[in-house]
Amino acid sequence: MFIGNNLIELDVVDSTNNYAANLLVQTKLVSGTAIMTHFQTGGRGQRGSDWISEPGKNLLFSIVLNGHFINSENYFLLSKAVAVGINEALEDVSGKTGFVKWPNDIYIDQKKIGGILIENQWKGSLLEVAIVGIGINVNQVNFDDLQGVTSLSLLGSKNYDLKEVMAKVFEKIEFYYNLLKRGDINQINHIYFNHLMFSNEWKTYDSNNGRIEGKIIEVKENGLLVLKLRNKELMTFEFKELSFIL
Amino acid sequence: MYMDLNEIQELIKFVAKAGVNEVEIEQKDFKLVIKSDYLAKKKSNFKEEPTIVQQAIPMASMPSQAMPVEQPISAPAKVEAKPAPADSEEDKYITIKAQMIGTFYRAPSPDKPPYVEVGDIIKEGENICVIEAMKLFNDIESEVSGKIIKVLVDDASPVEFDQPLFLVDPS
Repeated sequence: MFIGNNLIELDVVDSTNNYAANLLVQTKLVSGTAIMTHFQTGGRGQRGSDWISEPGKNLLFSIVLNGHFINSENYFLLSKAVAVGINEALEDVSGKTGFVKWPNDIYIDQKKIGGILIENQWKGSLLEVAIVGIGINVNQVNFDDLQGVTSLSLLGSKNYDLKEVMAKVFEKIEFYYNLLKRGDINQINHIYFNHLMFSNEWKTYDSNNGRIEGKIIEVKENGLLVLKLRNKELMTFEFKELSFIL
Repeated sequence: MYMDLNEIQELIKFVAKAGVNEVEIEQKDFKLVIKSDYLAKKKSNFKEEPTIVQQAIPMASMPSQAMPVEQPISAPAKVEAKPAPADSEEDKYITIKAQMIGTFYRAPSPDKPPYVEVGDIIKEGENICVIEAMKLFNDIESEVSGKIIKVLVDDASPVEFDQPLFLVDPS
């Protein structure tokens, strides 16, 4: 195992991704270095939206990965590998079936349990370093008004050891990262599609052109989603152009 | 077989007088088709109004496709010379382009100042913007050193692959 072999544990930090990025400015980090914290003051979801987490209850960590084998045309493959790894780890721990909601949220029982935020540092068209930020709801059971959210504890009615869950996530991400590094791209695409919420099912979505019915038939290596419509027409969507109706 | 324009005109007159709708002449490397919708119409008119005297068919009334004769293709009306760039200074600037599609951000996060402003001197390898795509944040480094002359895209707007983002003066 190289992921988590170097582990930095912080009581409080603004965000583990920021911490990793600042560290990278000062020094070189071994690929697989992980930074975990018990509380984030500036945890982020997608730009602008915050990740709400009670102190000490959830997994908040970042992994620094070398991405030299990834280019600007297939960079979403790393996101696929990480999402599949987390999903399998949470399935193992919870005993439930999880799904990756395009592009890279983790859902169990139609509720969000984990999120990924990857920051890529590019050198030309090659990925120099990826900072993979991961948040997983583990022992938090009260989410106030937040709808559509769950945690391992809510699902399993017990508390989990944070570091045991994290070790499982490291192990699974490492497996898929190594597949990707070996160039098993078809397998990554295939497994991601198998884990994908609503893949190959007729569903209704909200799009820029209103409600549409379609079937997800592919998520490309740059992350674009391909929807097949009832009239057999294919439509391609960027993130934010298509919303799921859960 | 070769026919000049006069011969073809004679042939068309002949065809018109003969009252046929279509004549096709084909040889090794020559093909001439004469069709006459006009004649066909007139003929049908004759059936209804047989008293009308047949008139000479004016050349102009021949459908143009009836003469698939090679004609010189008229040259494009004008080829406009591109105006010389008003500001030849632009030539020495380098454009930094987007290497992926996504949303362009000038600052590392909403509460932080932009990475670079116009007039700033940047070094190769320095972060200059973020492109968010598929919930992935891509820190874009400059591949050149120089002075930022212009920021070509508004903050938080979508960018296409290869879209120019910054104008840099490398000197």
